[in-house]
Amino acid sequence: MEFKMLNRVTALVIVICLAAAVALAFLRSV
Amino acid sequence: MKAARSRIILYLAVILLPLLVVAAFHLKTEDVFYYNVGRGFAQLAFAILIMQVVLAARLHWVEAPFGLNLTFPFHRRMGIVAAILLILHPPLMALGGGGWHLLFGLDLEWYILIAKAALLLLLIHVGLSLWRGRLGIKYETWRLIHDILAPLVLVLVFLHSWNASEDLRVRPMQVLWLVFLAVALLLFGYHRLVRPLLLRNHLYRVQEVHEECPRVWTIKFAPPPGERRFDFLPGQFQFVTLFRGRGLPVEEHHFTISSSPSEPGYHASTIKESGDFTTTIGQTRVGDTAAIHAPFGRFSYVLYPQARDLVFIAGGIGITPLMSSLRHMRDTQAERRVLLLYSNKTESDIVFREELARMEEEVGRGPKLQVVHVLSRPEEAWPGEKGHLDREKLARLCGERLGTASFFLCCPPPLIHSLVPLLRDLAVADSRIHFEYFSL
Repeated sequence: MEFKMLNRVTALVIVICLAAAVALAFLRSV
Repeated sequence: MKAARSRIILYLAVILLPLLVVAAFHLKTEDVFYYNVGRGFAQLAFAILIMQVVLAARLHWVEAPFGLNLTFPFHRRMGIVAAILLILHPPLMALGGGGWHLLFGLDLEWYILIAKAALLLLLIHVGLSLWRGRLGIKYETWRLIHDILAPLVLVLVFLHSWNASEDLRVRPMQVLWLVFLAVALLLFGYHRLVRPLLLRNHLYRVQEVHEECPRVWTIKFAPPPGERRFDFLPGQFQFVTLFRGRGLPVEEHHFTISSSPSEPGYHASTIKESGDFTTTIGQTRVGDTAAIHAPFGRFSYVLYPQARDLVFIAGGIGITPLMSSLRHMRDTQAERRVLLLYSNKTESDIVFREELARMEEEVGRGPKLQVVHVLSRPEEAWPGEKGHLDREKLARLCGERLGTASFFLCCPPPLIHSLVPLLRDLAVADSRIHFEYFSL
């Protein structure tokens, strides 16, 4: 069902963004 | 599916672009971890806000693989994500050495103060969008506020980051920021100003106004002289701005197309008087004109050619996309078995009753249609189904179709929310359930 795809995509985008921001912050801080 | 995947990857790539540019050109800083997280969150939020314009601009290339029914909710969700990231930005910066004065002080640089203003405006923006109904704000008023706040927030966030961020001292980031802002503002201008003007150069003409039943009207539109009507799929919808004069409101609203694309030379929407604008719909006259932006939506049986056995569930005026589909099946002699469960309050609320009855009686090629009317407030003498569509009725009326048929639901949101879990409970696979809300 379409709304399941929406939920998955939203979750995927949030997780990838947060992970990228935190990983970059770590790299910049060491 | 391929198109959808490519759009999602592209979206992710764009919103991650600031982080990638920073990683490539300005990685090392003296700042501590939390400070850098705060910075990254703000950069992500700016990119998300830029993409909000892309998502909302009704660009066919962007929305077609998903439909606006998914693109707009995604836009809404990402607006919340951006707001949360921006709320977290100042405390993380403060925690990382920027000092708590950043949060609570007022004797700050102008570019910090405008950031506070931007965050406040963004929160108002998101709040109004989420709770417009509860706050009793008219759609048109909300849209006007949205149109003012969206570019304002973007510009304020841009000015803040341009002046405050160390990362914006690096040329590639400056170029990226300018390109982001330019794209967003140009697209916003196109969507809200240029396109409406272009559409006014190709006005459709109201060809017929017909009262289907009390407070439900069908408006037929003819394309501009010498032009072809746009192509659409049965079940899709259009954005319509009616120009009627006589002091009647000029507002853009979306309406499902109730006619079939197989009917040449015109298309029609069937509209129920239900809101401020639609209560005036019966005052539309032949010869009035309309700017039309269409087609949109993916609620169409033709997108599922393997589905031969269909159950259509309509609540009230939700019959319109399903009627378009049935008319298309009839005209193209599409061989489908269709059960229509049509829920209304009273007999007089049933739209297209006679046409549905005629379709049901038709034999030969084309859809084999069975219509079941369900009335929640019937007259005493009503011989048909009474009450609401519940688990017992679905199980009894659908029978073996529960295991095989594809379900298309177009109902008010509360009915969708009750029916979809019931269908799942009756072992209908998610892949066989397709639904559309009345509102986007």
